Amino acid sequence: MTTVEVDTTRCEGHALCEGAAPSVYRLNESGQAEIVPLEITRELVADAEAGARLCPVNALRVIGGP
Amino acid sequence: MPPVTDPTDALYHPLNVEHTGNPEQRLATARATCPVSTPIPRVHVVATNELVRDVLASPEKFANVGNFTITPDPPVVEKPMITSMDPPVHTEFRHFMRRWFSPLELRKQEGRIEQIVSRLIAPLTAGDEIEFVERIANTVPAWTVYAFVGLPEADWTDIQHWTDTIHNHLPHVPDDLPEQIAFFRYLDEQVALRAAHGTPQHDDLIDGLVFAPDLTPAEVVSHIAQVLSAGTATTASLITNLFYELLHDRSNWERLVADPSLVTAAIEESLRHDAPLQYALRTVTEDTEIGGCPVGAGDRLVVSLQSANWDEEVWGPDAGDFDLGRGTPQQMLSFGVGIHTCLGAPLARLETKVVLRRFVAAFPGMRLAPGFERHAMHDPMLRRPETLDVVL
Repeated sequence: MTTVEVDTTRCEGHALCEGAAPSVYRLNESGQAEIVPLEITRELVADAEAGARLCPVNALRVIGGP
Repeated sequence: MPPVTDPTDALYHPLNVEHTGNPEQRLATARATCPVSTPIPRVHVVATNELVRDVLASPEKFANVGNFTITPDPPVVEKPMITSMDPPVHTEFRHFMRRWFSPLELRKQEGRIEQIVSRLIAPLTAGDEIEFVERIANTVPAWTVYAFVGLPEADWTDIQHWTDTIHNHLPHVPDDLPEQIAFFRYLDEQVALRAAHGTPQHDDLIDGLVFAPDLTPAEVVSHIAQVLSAGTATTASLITNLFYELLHDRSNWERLVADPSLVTAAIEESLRHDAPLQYALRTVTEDTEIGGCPVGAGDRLVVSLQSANWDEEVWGPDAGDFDLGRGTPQQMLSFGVGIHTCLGAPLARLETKVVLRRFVAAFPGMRLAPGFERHAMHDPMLRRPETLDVVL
């Protein structure tokens, strides 16, 4: 199963993940990234990876295969 | 490649404005034939996306000490600005500064930016011809940042003059530049005024820094100067480059008018196509190699954000084109990457979004003025047209 980890000590709210993949990421009230779906389904893996790739402070990790 | 001392012989010389003003072919050659070149002894230009990314992501090997100078063995400054800090000092200070740049704070800025743009648009009428850089692209970021920092509106014209002049001298600002002396004297006074209150009176960056523990007045001034400098000319370049590309091939502008949801894509593509700050600087901390090229401790690196953004390996053979429809998101490097990623990037994007949205709505017929030709700004670090004459 695929999961996405947000390193909240690194996340600075640049919001590029949300821009690229709103189905996976959104910024919460305090402006930090959080994961929207309960489960990263096979269809969402590419979006999750696209959002993680854009993170300028390397705060997102997509772990595991589909 | 052996060092070249005559700036006209170098493949890409970071201080030769002929090179930095029209870098397309030179950087393409660098990427293809010599990704690490040495135009000045012990100063190396890093040109490919992969190597630029590697350097920026390795702050322990490639430090920020010595920014903004471009000579080898930079002196260690005791109280550097954030762009010249390295961990652990940088880590702590960036964390402290993040409060003012948090998304929650930035959302509060949006209304103020709207007001600033409204004020600048109010006297304009469709059909007017204006010089867009001075009227809009320079002024929106300047006023936004002055308000953000907390500087009195009556002083904005003076501040803008001083900081523009200082920026024109980067990356080597002479210590005795009159505008620099006047600018720092002014900031000294502002900081002293705030400190005299004894407690914070305003929820702005000046009071935040003045009443922060462990910061001397001189450090507060230095940090404020850094924020002002980093947030004005760079964002002005972003806005100018974006409008130039949209109007130069006007089918882009028409697409935006028809579909304003393309605003974000347009801004990201502009950032990629035209890096407002063409390169960042780093200092090698220990003898090592970059892409197989040996570099020595104390050597300086000119890290070409612009070249990284044009790398055909990442963006394909049409990497040099401005394309609103670039599909797969890839990370452009104009704001850097890693621990020094531009803190103000979300603010710069927000300002640009407001300006573009408002102009698309108010002046759908906007176009380049008849006969306008792009002339690159003569500046080693900044990239933008010198002027931009448009008809609204």
